[in-house]
Amino acid sequence: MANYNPCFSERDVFRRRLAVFGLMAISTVLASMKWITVLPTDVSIFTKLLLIVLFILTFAWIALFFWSSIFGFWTLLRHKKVPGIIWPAPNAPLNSKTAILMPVYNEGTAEVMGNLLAIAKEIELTDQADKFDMFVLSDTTDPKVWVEEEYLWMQAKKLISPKINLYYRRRAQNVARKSGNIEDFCNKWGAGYDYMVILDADSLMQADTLIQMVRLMEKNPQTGIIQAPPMMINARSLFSRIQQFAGRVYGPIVSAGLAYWQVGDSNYWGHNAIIRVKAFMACCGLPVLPGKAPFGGHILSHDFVEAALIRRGGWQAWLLPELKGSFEECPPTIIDFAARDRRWCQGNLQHIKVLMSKHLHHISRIHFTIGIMSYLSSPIWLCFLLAGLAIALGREFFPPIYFTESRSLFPNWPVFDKIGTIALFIISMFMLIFPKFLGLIIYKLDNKQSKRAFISTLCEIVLSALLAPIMMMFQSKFVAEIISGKAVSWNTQNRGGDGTSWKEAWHRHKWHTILGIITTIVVAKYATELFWWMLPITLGLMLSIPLSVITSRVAVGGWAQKHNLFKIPEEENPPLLALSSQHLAAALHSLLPETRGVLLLLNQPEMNALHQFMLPVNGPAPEFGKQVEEQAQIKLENYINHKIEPDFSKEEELYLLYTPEVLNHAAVLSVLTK
Amino acid sequence: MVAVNIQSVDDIIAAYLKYLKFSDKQARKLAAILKGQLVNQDNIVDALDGLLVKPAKKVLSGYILTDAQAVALYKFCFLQAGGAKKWGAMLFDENSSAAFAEALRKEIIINAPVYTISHMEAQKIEPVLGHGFWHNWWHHHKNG
Repeated sequence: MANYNPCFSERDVFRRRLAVFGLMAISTVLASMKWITVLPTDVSIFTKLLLIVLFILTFAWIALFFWSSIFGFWTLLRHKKVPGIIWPAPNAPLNSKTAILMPVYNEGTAEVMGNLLAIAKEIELTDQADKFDMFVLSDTTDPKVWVEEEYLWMQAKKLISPKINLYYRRRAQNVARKSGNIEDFCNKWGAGYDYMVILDADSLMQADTLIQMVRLMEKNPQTGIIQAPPMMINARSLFSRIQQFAGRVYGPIVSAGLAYWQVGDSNYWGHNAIIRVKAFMACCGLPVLPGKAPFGGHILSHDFVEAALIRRGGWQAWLLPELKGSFEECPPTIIDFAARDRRWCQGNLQHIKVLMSKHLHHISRIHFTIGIMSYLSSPIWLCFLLAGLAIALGREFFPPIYFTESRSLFPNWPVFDKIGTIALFIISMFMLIFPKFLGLIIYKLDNKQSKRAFISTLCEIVLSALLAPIMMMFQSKFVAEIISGKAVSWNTQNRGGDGTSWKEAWHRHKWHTILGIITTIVVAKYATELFWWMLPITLGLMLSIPLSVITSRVAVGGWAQKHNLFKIPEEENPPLLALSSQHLAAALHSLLPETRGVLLLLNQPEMNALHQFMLPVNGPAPEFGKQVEEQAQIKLENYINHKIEPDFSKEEELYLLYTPEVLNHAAVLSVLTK
Repeated sequence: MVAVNIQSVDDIIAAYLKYLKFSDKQARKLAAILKGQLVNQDNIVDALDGLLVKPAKKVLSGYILTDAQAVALYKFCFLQAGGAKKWGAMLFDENSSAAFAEALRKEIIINAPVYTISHMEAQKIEPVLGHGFWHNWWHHHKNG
């Protein structure tokens, strides 16, 4: 089934992979051979082996990124499209039905609906509006957000063309989180659609891009997934603006590089992608992994697994950097970024259980390995640093023995090839940083008017170097927690820009700071020759608190923008879709009544009726304890009879929302006591 | 159930109607009529909802809905259409006019399409070298 466009053969695919992985292997072997020669001679064989293994793992990782980026740069320079997929004629009418899915979990409702409405309004302007339906698939557990979602869904429906159906359904039990949410959709309504576009709460996709993706699906019937690489927008804090700039400048060559060697065996990133429903339903039912969390249980990072399963089923998966008009937002602070990383880390490490599954395509196994390594590389790097430090300290406390007991005319000099080590360090840095400048070349070629891009790139390199040890410490901690069996809870991602307080920063980074200070003192006193080498790492750790606070500030982000630092063209000329979504979100926000949750339903009869009408689609109500039921009713009575503002717990309010007869009575009786 | 200090039947019916945006005068007048149909009812609000089932099902014919859903949607449409002012007591009329039904149907809101039920089978994720392999390997080496 997985045949390529006739102009592009399996042999071409093999050549591409041989080039990238061959060069990666050659550079790793050469660097490792050099590394073996520069290792100090006065360390044990075990230490040597450890250092060699850690070096190979770290260097191979850098080399893959480097060579992939080189090929990405080469592809973009020649304006080459991803081969192997058949590009459809523009303006071809659509002959299929697509569901646009927005899974949400306690998100900012006005922003979510604003995004959906903006997309809908763009689709309305095309003549393909009747080919799309939209679904808000809520897994929301906060009762107030639940009612808000229903309220704004009703308002949004009034603003949307009747040609596009905007549906809303909430699950009573959010089994298997996002993947379970999508699976529930597929089980109930999937058979009615040819394709589904999966969005995230902060996703935006232009109508032209959506239509192009559907056309690609229609034209390539062997394709299961098409991923449109999302571009980060709407960043306001300094941290998110740096991420946004990095994504805008380096993202294209990274995506093009991945597409170069992945071709039809690409990955899926969980959102901003179109999926063939038939293929997904046949191949992507996720099992519950045996064993306890964090490695067992429901699969958390479902996207990689779904891509691997759909590929296993014989369907193709494509990453197409040519697809523009796909947007997302990024976490506003280092701490939010780390919180997201904690979830992804557990999800990716869970893939260790899937990695060696039978019948997977070898490229799918590489995707899993890359995902696992993107988190394991931090503790590996940490071990590498600690081993180097330990050797230096060992030499200080246990001086080398020049004349051993076996009598010899010559002293036993410990040999350490300083020049060779520096050369390897420079090569590693070059491989890490050079692709950024290649990204900058492409960026400048495409955006000749952009200001201070070079300075911004240099600043980004410095700041990312300072932030790297902080992320290394975070990720190493996450990996240790996960291996020790600590599972992650499902928290809503902070998509706003409130900033990090000094107290919060101290709480999160105090050990980073202390470790940075101790290491600096130890190195300065006992391993002076390492002082300057370690400084970029120790400095980042020592400054972690101010870095975390300052980069989280919107005002600092604004200052940088004013001075044309980290500025991307989309800030100068924001996409119409993004502007439209912001206006619509603001408009929807202004429609929200002051009362929330149960009280909103009591005050608004239409909403009460609508809520009760929609309840059965939620599925059976969960069980609430007797005490919860009684407390909820007492608080509601006190509100009705004595106007005592109720302080419902989440459980109590959920119970009331699930009990229409109580809502009906309370609503009527609240009129009586007015 | 939520208790309230005032418990007169007339008051409860009027409150029910006022919640559906009937004016005080309309509500009092209609309450007097409906009171007769609610003799010996313990739960007035449920009984009033019960009176709406048939008119609701008539207006919403063609939709597969439970009684509770039909009544809820019927009330929603009535409220959205400004029904209290325009149609008043017709809310409870099993033989309501076609114009009334048409006006309410315009307000029907669909939160989800009709189910097209299917089932996604959980896929097998089996390690290439299963648990049994390592178990056998360990015992083989242990026992020489």
